[in-house]
Amino acid sequence: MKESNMPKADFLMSIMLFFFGIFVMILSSQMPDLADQNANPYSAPGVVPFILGIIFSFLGIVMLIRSILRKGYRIKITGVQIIAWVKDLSTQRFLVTLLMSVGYALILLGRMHYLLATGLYMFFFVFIFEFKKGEKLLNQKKTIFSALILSIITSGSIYWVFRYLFLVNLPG
Amino acid sequence: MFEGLRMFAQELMGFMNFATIFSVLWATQLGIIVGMLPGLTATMGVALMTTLTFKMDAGNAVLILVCMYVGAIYGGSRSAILLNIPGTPANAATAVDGYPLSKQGRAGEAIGIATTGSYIGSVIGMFFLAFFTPLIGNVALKFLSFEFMWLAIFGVVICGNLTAPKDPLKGWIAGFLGLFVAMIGMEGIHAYVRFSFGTVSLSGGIGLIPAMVGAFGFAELMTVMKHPEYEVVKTKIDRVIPKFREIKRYWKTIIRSGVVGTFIGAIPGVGEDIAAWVSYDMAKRSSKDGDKFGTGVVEGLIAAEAGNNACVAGAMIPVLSLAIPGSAPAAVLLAAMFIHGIRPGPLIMIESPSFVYSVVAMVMLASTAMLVLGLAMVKPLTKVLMVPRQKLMPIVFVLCVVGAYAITGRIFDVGVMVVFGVIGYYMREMEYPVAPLVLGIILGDILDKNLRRALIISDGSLLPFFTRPISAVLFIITMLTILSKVGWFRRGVASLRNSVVSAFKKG
Repeated sequence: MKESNMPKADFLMSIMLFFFGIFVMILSSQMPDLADQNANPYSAPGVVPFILGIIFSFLGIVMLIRSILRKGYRIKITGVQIIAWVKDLSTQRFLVTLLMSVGYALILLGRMHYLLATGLYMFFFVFIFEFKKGEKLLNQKKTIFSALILSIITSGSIYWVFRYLFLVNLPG
Repeated sequence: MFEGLRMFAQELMGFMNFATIFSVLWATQLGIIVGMLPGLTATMGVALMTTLTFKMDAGNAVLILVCMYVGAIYGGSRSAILLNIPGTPANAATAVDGYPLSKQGRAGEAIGIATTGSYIGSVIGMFFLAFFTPLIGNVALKFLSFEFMWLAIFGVVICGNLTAPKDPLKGWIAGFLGLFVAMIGMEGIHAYVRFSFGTVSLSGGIGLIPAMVGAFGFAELMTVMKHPEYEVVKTKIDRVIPKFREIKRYWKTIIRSGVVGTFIGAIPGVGEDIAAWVSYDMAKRSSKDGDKFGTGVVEGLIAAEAGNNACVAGAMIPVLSLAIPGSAPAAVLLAAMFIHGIRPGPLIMIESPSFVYSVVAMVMLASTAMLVLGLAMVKPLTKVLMVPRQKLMPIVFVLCVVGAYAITGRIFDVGVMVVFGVIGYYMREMEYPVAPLVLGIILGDILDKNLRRALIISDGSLLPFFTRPISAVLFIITMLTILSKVGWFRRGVASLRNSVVSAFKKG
């Protein structure tokens, strides 16, 4: 993140932190004191979270004041900025990594066999990042082949090591 | 003292068999490889290795984890020297003078000096580990709930201060968020389930290993993949083994860095990166060639490496004596000890004093393996750095997933890993340090139980928190740690100091 955008990020974060602190305080105060079980009132489950809620709100206020002094409240997001952000190569690389990894971990795993899920993830990860834009798919046989070999070897060896050597029941 | 030496010798002799030595060698070598690959940190290496070793017996498992830890912190120097990319954050200071040395065609020499510096730093740390753990353990026996409560607060505050020197407020926020994460799930006094919102999976709480693997591993993966490729410096690697006089010349720097590194390691949650930077900075200030630091000065390189490796042993001092980690990888090591039924903490010197000396012997074996492997296998290992990141990173993620899943066998923990990965990534982007968050997760339980117990003991009175001698000292240190970062307090202290100095001059 650019240094110039930091006060704006801090401004938003401070507001979130303040309200998060309030939310934690409300939830903590609603927790029972377990007096009906003859528990000491100071041992109530909500005591420590309530104090943490106060600390969050306090830290949020401190950060809010600081970000206001640094003009962090001047938040202006334009369409041009969003388009530039999306078109940025770093953003694209980050989003591809995030989506593929989340898709593998939270969607594929557990819904299909571990070997297949891991193989698919490995193959597409290597293929997408090694794919040469503007070049025909047929001319990129080497990339496809290396991605395929790597995905088979890696998923197979990880499955074998964890399943049979370390006796871990892998998902799927 | 002699009893300690006897126990150390006994434990060391116990490790002298083929199977153990073989384990030491492969685990240290794997640690070096993990450390030298940008994107794989020591924390992640130890966390993944915890998964691999959790069916082994406790002694072997901890030995392998210690070897991985020592190897990874050292291994990061390799990519720092050859790529100008620190393999682990602990080696950032190594790159400052290591990479210029490499560009001058002195890569072999730089690697040799980094290896020797790391070894000597490790040995110094090991000495302090053996000496101070029993002492701190004995003092900690006097701790009651009041003191443990302050210790938890002090841990996140000092960790926030040192891991976010530019903006400690963000370090403190990260630390307190970690403390809150520890509140999720069943609490330890009445077994009441907090903040689970009716979710059964959340009622067991957030696991440390999935959270750490996510915050360090998955977040690192996204950060690494975001940036374009790096280039390996084309340099000839010739003589690696350093000359004795080169090391002798910098003996003061090595010893100072070793002591500083160990001390910083012993501070809760702070870690090797800070140890390396402080050691480097102190070497720069005291050196005749201070102005040349950054251009390829051997003294700078040796200071950084001695500092970060000494920190490894230093970080184990609070792990063993207080059950509080000195660094992020030490936090995983602590979690692994609990998984294996070892209970570090103030009672360890009473319950199992030999375990402390067993860990000292483990550090010694790991350091020796690191020295031998570090000096012997330089050229073949350099080829590992050529592996393209788009081929390496998906393997890392697959291991992160297995690492999060394997201990409890729940897909929920994979989700925790992913969520903490995204949180960790944005924390880095917004300059929030991750280490206090992780330390907070560990200290949360200590804070929660001890604050409530203390209030029960004092019948709600807050006075004992400030009037008990050790409590008062911890409170004052915590307040000074916070105030030392507050502008008006620093200005006040500076003006007070100036007026005292001028009054003395006039007098």
